This record gives sequence, C-alpha cells and structure tokens, in this order.
Amino acid sequence: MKTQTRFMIPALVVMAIVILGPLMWGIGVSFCDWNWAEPNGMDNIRVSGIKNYIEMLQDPLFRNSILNTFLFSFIALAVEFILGMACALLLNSIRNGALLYRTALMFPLMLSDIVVALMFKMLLNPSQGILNRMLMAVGMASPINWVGDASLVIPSLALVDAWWQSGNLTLIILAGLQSIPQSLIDMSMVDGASAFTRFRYIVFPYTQPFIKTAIVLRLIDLMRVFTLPWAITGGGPGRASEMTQVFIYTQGMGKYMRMGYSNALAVTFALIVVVVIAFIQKCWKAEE
Amino acid sequence: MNMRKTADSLWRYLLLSLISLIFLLPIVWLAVVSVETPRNAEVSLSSVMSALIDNYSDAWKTGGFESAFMNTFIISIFAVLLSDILGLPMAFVLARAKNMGYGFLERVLFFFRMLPEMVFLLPLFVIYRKIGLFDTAIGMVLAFQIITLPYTVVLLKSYIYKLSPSLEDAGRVDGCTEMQVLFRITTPAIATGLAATSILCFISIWTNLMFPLVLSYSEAQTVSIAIASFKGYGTFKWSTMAAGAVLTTLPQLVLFGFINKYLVAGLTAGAVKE
Repeated sequence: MKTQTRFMIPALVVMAIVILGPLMWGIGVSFCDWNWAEPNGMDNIRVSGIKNYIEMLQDPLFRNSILNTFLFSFIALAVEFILGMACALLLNSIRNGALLYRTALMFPLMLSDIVVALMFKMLLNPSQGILNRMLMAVGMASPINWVGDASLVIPSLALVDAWWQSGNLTLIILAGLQSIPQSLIDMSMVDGASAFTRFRYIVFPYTQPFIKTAIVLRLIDLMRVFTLPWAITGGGPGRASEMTQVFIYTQGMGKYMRMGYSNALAVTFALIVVVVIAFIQKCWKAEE
Repeated sequence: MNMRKTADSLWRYLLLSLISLIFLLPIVWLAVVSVETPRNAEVSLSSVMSALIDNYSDAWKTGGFESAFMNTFIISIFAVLLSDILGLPMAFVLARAKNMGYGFLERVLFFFRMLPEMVFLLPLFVIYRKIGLFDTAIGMVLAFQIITLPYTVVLLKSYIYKLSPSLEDAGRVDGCTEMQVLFRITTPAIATGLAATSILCFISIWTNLMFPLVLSYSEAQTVSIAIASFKGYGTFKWSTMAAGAVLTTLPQLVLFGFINKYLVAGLTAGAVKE
C-alpha cells in the first residue's frame, strides 16, 4: 500500500468506530423492542421488525414535532437571511468603523446556545422580564406571554435564534461581497448603472454561491435545534414548541427509555434532514 | 450633491447602530444582572463589588462549576489533541492526492455533519452503559470525535491545499520520508491554521450541551450542564444564573478573540468547494 493511503488509516478507523458504529447499531436497534422502563427491560431485547416504524407513522406527536421544527426553521431562516443580507450590505458600504460594527454584530455568535436560552428565558418572562417591562413603559396595555402562548411560542423561539445566529449569515455573505473585484464596481459606476442594476448583475451573481452555502448550513443547524426549546420552554406550552430532537430525546433516555422506538425516530429524522438538504441542492444545481 | 451623500451614509450608520444595539443590549443586561445588588440595598461602588463577589461565588458553588470547569478543560484538550493527531495525516493525503475517490470521502465527511446528533447519541448511550464508558472522561473524548474529527480534517485540508507543494517536494528530494515531510515541513507551515482549527474545536466542545446531557451523569459533567442546571428553578435567583452564564462564556470570548480572522473559514468548513 502506498505510504500516503496508509496515513488515513488511523482517522478512518476511529471514524468507523465512533461514527459508523453507533449509526449501524442504531439502525439495528430501531427494528427491535427494547424498553428500559420495564422491569429487567435492559436485558430484554426482542426483534420486532418494522413495528416501531408503523407506530411512528401513526404517532401524532411525531408529526407535531416535525411540523413545529419546519415552522421554526422557516421563520428563523427567513429572518436571519433578511437581517444577515442587510447587515452585510450595510457593513460593505460604510467607510469608517466597519470593524467596530462587525464585532458588535457577531457578538451574539460567541455565546453558547444554552447561555442564549437562559438569557432569553429571563428576558421573555411575562411578568419579570425586561422586554415586557420596557414595552409596558412605552405604552403597551398588557404583557405579552412570549413563550407561554401556544400561537406565539414558535415565532418567539425563531426570533431568539435569529438574534443569536444572524451574524453567521452576515459574515459569510460579507465574505462574498468582498470577493467582488473593485474594478467591476468602478466600471459600472462609470457606465452610470443604477444601484439596482449593479445589485442584479454584479453583486448578486458574485455573492450567490456564498448565500447558498450559508442557507444550507443554517438550515442543517435549524432543523436539528434542541437547546433553545429544551431549555426555554421544555417543549411547552403543551406540545406547542416540541421540536423533533427534543421529542426523540424524551422518548429515549430523556424520559420513557424506549430505546427501539426512539432509535427508529432518530433514523427517520436523519433521513428527513438529508432528503430536505439534498432536494434543495438538487434544485439549485438544476438552475445553473 | 455632497449634502445628499452625507445624508445617504448617515442613515446607514443609524441603521447599523440600531441593529448593533439590539444585538448587544441583552448581553449588557445579562452582565448587569450578574452584579445586581439585593433589593433595596443602596447602589454604590462597594455594594456592586460585594454583589459581584457574592453572585459569582454563589454561582461557582451551586452549579458544581468547579468540577465542571476542570472536566470540560480536560475533555476538550484531549479531544482536540486526538483530533489533531488523527486528522493531520488524513488532511495531508486529501489535500495532496490526485485520486478522484478522495473527493467522495470529503462528501461523506460533510454528510456526517448533517445528521442530527440523536442518531449517534441514542446508540452511544446504550453502548456506553453496556461497556462502562458512560459518565467517563474517556467516553466523552471519544464521543466528541464525532464532531471534531471530520471538522479538523476538512479545515486542515483546506489550509494544506493552499500551501504550495514545492517545499515538500524539495524535502523529498533531500531524502525525507513522508512522515518527516508531513511533520517537519507541512505542519510548521500551517501552524496558525492548526491553532485556529484547534481553538474552533475547543469552543465547539466547550459549548456543546447534547453530548454531556446524554452521555454523562455527574462525574464527567461539563460547564454547559452546570449552567443548564439553573434552568429548572422558576424562582431561582436571576443574579446567580446570570453570573453563571457570564462565567461559562468568558473562556469562549478570550478564544474567539484569537481566531476572529478564521471565523468565516470555520463556519463554512466543508461546504465550499475550492
């Protein structure tokens, strides 16, 4: 074997053990009944075929969690994209203080998700939270129950995520804007192109690959959201903000200890994420 | 004309300042709460100082921060070292080889990054309980390779790829073995990239919540769990919680300061073709 290929063996072996191993094991367990909450449940594993998957298809709570996750991802992505694009364009257009503003805009990125979650749990508290107190001070009649109201909770969580991660898109789109050759901009100025024309024919084509990358990466992380709903609402009120990974965790070691069923859910959800991302990338490829 | 131009850039600054304010205020508020004095106490420099000491030592004691900080440091450092040692040779091959099959390997690495954590964590929980790695530092170090190893390989590959191979060829002519080429020529040349990669991995472990939540119970708990333990108390003292949040964030902030420049590369690792 060539020396070079041999160099990859240690990393590939470890990846096979820690990544492929659990993945295969999980797929196997998803075809079994294995309920640790039963007496002696840990030693009692039975092959049950596709029973878990049939139960999953009929489980309204799983469907609910998927819908919640998609709604959350869609709102958060839309807000993050608009904010991120606006901030990147603004940052790229000012002469002085760009570094200062850039640092301010990416500051939330440096916090961990659990710190963001706890911070907003306090800020959004209906009676004690500073947000409601400020809104009341400027004339709002009654406090808004941001995360306690079933119809408001997902948009609220999406806005928290947007506060946290918009800087992510700003940074990536800004890198795209800065890759545009200055001579191209100068030339269009001499030719008297309007700001809109310049955006349509120069800025957009140059930044498009960056925007696509940013959207795909954001969407992957948004669909896998866990910490924000887990720490801020615990999936509530009722099940109004139960996202899929939180639901899977509750079915598994979080509460019910149903190893077979929770693994079936996890495998299915992984497939859903992969299909969504693959579909988006395919659409974009067809466009080109 | 000039007036219009000034007005034109003025609204940009106003808008940016407004957005920056929205982004910064909650953080400032958190820092203020963490030094909040007990109610109806007089606000003075000395009362703020004593509140600061009280709140922070409170948080340090209640959340089990002392052991959590130690655990997280140990787990992060060993996980990062392991990823570097394993990842460097693989990144070297991927960057230099002309074999088309390796492009497929890189896509597989990106594919792993896409999968929801639970698909690994549920089986690992079961396996760890069976073989005794549950709630151990070794178990955590191994589990974190799921995140850090593909990430390290992809990032280091991009740094090596940008490097001209001529120096390496000169080394080979002078009789270096491949191992010597990698560790004596290539590695020193990408030292800053290696450091940035290690810091990014360190931060991703430091901030990770799901892995310790599932794979540890008390012995191998990390700072994320320590701070998350505050979430259950509805009427918990906010000042203590805020102090805990600031404490866990400080190491991150310092590290981010070092890698500011490398952040975009870190965010897009594996997703952009070069």
